[in-house]
Amino acid sequence: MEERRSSRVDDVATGRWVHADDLAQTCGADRSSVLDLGQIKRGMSPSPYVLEGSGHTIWSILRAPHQVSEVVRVVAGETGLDGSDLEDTVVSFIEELHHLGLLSRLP
Amino acid sequence: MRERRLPLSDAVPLAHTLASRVAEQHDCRVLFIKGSVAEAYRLRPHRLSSDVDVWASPDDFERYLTALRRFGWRERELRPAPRILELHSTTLIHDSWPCDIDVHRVFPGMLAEPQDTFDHLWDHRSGVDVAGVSIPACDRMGTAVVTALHALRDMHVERNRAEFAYLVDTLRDSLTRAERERLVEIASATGAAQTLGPFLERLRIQPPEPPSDAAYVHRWHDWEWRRQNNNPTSRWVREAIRRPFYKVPARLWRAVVLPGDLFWQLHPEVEPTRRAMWIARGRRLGRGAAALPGVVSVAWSSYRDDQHGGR
Repeated sequence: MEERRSSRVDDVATGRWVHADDLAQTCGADRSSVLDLGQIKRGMSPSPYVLEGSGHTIWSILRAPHQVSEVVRVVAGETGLDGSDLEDTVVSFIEELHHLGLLSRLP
Repeated sequence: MRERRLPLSDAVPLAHTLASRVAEQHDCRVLFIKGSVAEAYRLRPHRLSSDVDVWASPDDFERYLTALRRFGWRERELRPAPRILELHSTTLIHDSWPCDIDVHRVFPGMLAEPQDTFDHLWDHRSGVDVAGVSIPACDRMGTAVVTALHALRDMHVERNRAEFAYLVDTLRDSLTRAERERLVEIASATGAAQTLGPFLERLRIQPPEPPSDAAYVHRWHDWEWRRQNNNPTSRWVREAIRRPFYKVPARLWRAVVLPGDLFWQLHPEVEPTRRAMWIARGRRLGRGAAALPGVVSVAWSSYRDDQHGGR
């Protein structure tokens, strides 16, 4: 179990992540709202997503490609939390955004 | 990260991009107008919009509505009230979105044939950036005309007067010669020579000569009637006098007594008791009587114009 979790974290952690190509988004000081327009091409009705708090911070960082470790460092700096405590949360969040089609993984 | 928390200020720009992409995907020609577009061109002061205004080419209109329905958008129910100007747009709503999409078929104040009007503006379209996506819109002067006509239709509304003043102040000293010529070209091509009169006058631009055919004159009278006297009494009277002469008394009588079903459709806000209904009917007749002198004055003026060649 622990081994599987570690493999998943490694998998996400080794890539560089960036916003997917076909998105519409509004970015404010403390909130981003995002719509995956690519879904329309696939005949699906896209749902808008609202990112606030640290989710907004992570989203803002990933405007340019970054690795998980870089994201963790910035979020830790902003929140004052320990980076090692944050890594799992950041990995899960990035996985979720990737699953929703909002993030792309670069080699 | 939940869709139900989407604030209106974010929903409106995102819905613009959605409506644009649906049009593109279904080969429908659309132009985005008013709110976000006017702000992008700095022709309107910033304020929170509650809807998306998109103008579909008349020959794509039904197909575009069908396409949007496939993505969960549906028509908002309309009250069966009489109208002076034809219904110019269809309002769509969606369970996941806090904003509406208003799909326009025509634009009030542009009195030329709707297809010719749209085609002209489409031929001069530009891309405007909304939520990081380029969406098709009227060019800047086309957007200025749309913004001016929207305000001029209801100048009794304070916000419209303020937006009209802002538009005039923005353009008055900054228009290039090419932009002035473009405004005249749009006014002529879209049948807005007269409806835009107060706007062109403020910009010290000589309006083009309006058409004189009967269809245009009829639309111009409708516009003037609606602009001068937009209240239910005026709408009922205008709707009645469009009918054959012998049907007018019955139509006016219907407006006065308002049969039960129609009353409830037009006044869903009234408590469903007989007492509340009679009180509401009494107030309605009172408002109608108070508005009648103004309506008669506009009707007389419209009749006199008809007798003197239509303008």
